[in-house]
Amino acid sequence: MLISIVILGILLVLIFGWRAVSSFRHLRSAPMRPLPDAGEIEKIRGWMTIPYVAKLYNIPEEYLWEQVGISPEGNEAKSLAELTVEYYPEHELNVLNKVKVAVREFSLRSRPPRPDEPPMPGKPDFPTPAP
Amino acid sequence: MSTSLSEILLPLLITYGPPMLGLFLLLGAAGLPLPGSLLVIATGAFVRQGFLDWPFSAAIALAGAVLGDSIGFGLGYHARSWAENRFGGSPTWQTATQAFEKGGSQAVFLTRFLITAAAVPVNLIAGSSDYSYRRFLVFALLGETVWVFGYGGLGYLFGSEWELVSTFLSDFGGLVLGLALLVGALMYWRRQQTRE
Repeated sequence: MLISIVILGILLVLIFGWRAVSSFRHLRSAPMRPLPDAGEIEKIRGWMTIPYVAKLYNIPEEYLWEQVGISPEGNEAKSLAELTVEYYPEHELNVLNKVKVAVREFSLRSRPPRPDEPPMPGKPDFPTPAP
Repeated sequence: MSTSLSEILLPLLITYGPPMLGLFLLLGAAGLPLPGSLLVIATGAFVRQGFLDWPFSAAIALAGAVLGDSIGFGLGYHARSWAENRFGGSPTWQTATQAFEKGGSQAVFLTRFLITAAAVPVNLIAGSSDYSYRRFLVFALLGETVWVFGYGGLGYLFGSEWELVSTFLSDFGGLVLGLALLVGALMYWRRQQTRE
């Protein structure tokens, strides 16, 4: 019994010690900011809801609903993963990918153009975010 | 598509706010395997992002966690006669309950935020031993306060990077649990050696 506890303790220390050092390194280099940058789409996760993503990236909610092709009625509390299962069961990560594309496109269209950049066609075809 | 438990709980937390947090922490502290620390860290980030209100979230989180701890204590208390009939005669049981009498307060306090995986068993042991409920409540409240404000504060500090905080604290908790097992085994072995 005692030997088993010691072996379990050693295993936990080795496995979690190594993982803790690795995750601490990631954490130490992480920026302490409340919101992700505009267009930083790798921060979008399957657990997020459309209203949450809209507020997080300062994007009109209606625009995101339109881009994913789903009505907001009765779906506002559902995660992107749940929406995929319900509306696009044949395509894994579908709603998540659609939202990522929509957020990236919105951020590209709503950022101020560089002086040397030609005007983007059809920009913007949705409300611009509040400053 | 595989869905983890946090993928089910986080949308509910972000949509319905602190009451949902309180309910999840209550159920987790009472014994259901819910990711309480992750939810507290996420709440800190959601507060900083302006989705949740911090005084209300902190108060509800504390109330839920302490109520859940008390339910665990109550379950242990009601299982006491069964445990005593089953194990009461064994020297290991007596040593364990005596050890809890001595170091129970530290165990209750530390398992709220440092070795959270052991919190539910500690609640049950506290309830089934002679440990007083009033003392349990005081140390559980202190420990949960450190948990809510410490973990929630880190989530607040790191904001959009809160998932990294959660991963680190989860790994660190596993490391501390391993160390606690080794220290416990060493103390037990030394006690056995002294007796012999």
